[in-house]
Amino acid sequence: MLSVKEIDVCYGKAQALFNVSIHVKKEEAVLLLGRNGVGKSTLLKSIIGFLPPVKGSIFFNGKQISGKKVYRIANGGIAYVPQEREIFPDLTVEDNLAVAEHKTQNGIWNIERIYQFFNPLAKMKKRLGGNLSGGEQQMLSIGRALMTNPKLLLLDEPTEGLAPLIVRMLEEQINKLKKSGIGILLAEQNLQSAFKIGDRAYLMEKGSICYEGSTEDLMKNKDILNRYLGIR
Amino acid sequence: MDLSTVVSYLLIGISRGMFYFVLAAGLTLILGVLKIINFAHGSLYMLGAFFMYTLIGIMGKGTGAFFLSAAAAAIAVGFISLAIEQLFLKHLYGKEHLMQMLLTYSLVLIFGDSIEMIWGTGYHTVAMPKLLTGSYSFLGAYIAKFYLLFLISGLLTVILLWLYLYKTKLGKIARAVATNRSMVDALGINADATFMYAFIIGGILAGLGGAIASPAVNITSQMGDSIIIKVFLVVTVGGLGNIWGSLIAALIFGISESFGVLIFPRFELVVPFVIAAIALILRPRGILSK
Repeated sequence: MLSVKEIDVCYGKAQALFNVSIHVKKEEAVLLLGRNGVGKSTLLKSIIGFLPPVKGSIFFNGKQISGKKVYRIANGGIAYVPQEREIFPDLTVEDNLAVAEHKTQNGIWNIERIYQFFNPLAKMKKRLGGNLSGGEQQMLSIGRALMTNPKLLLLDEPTEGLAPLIVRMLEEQINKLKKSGIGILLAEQNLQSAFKIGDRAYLMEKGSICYEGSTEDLMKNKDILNRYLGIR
Repeated sequence: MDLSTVVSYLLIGISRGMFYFVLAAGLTLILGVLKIINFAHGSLYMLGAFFMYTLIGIMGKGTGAFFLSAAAAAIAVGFISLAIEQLFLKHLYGKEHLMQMLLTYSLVLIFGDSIEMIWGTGYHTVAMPKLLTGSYSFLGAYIAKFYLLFLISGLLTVILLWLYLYKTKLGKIARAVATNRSMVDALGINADATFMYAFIIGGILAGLGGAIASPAVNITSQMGDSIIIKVFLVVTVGGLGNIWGSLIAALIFGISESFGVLIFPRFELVVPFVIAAIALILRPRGILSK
């Protein structure tokens, strides 16, 4: 479904990604793992179009998307949940969801469905986005992305800074999304969470991919986990 | 000073405030959504008045013709705003603010000279329609009927803007764009289209302001210069980009202008500016800023 081929990405003159290639198949959950600052968020931003690659290409469902405008890439079926959540603070929960509504032929997501999926949001429809807790904002951010009825969901550290109870709830819900057929590309530092979700994993180091394999294999590979993630 | 005088000056102040709001709402909407300081807002106001002058000349002096001309003038300015946005502004989104300011300032010069070429350098007037001549009595105070036009236009602007911003998807997107444009893009929404609508609405409001002011002012190629300073002040005191802040600031400005004439007749021009300065000292980022 998604194929990133040998891309280089720069912030101005500073190169952040070097010859990165990854792919995500339909209905697959893929992990992007690595320490802080290795380029996980940059890769997601490049896929959604905020940082177009200076070299290489990105394809989605066979069509080249690199170089296209962000809204066109998003319209093609990719939804992005940023690390900072980026809820519209002056809009109510309901309006945050309403602005994102994007009806597609086979789209199953609408506001009522989001409220069923993230139950706590149903009780705060009229609350302003800026007045929500971190966990509530994260639910809203994912809910808002789902309102576009995506085929692929880019999640940037969704569990960061959240209470364990909320993290567990998000893990369950993201797994449900995976089962519903949405492809997931998840950048995460919380390995416990990530391993519960991912089918395959890419490890990143200094802007490059340094390991690729199934989550199962990675969990057993103590040497790699130690070398790139500092886990003994 | 008796009650009827106070009521009379208060009503005049509120009406003038509502007039300032019609202009300030458009300017602050453009500022909030597009993040562009539109110096040409005064020119669009001026164009509204000149269109009104020409349209009244064609349609006649009846009350119906007056309102029809005002609507047509506002819409015509809306079309000019569309052309400005599509031909020029569109290419400057995301560029340096200086470029955008230079463009809108150059439009001020272009419109100023174009108006002199088309309508001449003299002043023109629009006759007050019959319905708006004379005065109403309210709590013993006499208010010129004409002020009702400002009041109603202002109230209509409040209601329509509220409906647009809070009840339509387009308006909600405009509010979202005002806080986080890139996230709006990431949701598959073409924010450029939102910019276009906001600029057109801002232009229509400026044109409407010029049209309704036309019977009360001399229509000249400089009429935009003096008003734009007041409107910028209203927008700043209200909080840049904050429409409801502009409403409060416009009312404060209008009322202080009105009572300035009554209480400090020798300093009437200064009073609203002093009040605005005090408001900015107390709330440097504007009345409704966060």
